[in-house]
Amino acid sequence: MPIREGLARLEGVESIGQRPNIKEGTCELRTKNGRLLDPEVLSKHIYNIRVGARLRGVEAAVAGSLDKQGDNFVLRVAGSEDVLCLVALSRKVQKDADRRSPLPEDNAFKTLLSKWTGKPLSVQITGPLIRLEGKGLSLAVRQFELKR
Amino acid sequence: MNLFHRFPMKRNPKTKHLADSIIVLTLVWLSCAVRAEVRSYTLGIDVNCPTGLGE
Repeated sequence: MPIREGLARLEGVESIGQRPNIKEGTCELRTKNGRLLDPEVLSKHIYNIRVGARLRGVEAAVAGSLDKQGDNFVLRVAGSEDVLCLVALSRKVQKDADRRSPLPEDNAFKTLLSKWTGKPLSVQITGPLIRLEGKGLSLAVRQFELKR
Repeated sequence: MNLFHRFPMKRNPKTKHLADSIIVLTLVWLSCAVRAEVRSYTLGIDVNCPTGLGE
């Protein structure tokens, strides 16, 4: 079974990008009603397609509200009760073989925090979705866009 | 659709039509508002075959 067909069988998947990005080794996916996917469930599903595919990582573009919870900065996902802990980018999902110099995305987390004024801020954040011990599901900040 | 059959304004067709439209628009807006805002996912997949992700 091709990977694309296998991915389409995952519950909650709305669409899969027409063409994969071969250079970066990635493909796009959208979920019904913009629901949050658990990377572990996704990883097991891809392994179970049984074509020798393995999930290297998953990146999500999430809109919501930047807020502070205790000592941590979080993103309250718009339209849901989900809260993602925000962390600095440590590893990208995209393959980046040609990279030789630091990029602005390395400091995206710090730059985002510099915008914090003590009040919730509407923002769209893109970055790897990871599960960290003690922090639960977290979003590493690679890019962000402030909303009005 | 007559959502105002219990109210006196039912005798004014223009008002009734406007009120019905507002309710329908509100329902549409609410159905959109419950959508969680995960816009898209980018999956990084390693594949052990010559065609890779092109499969």
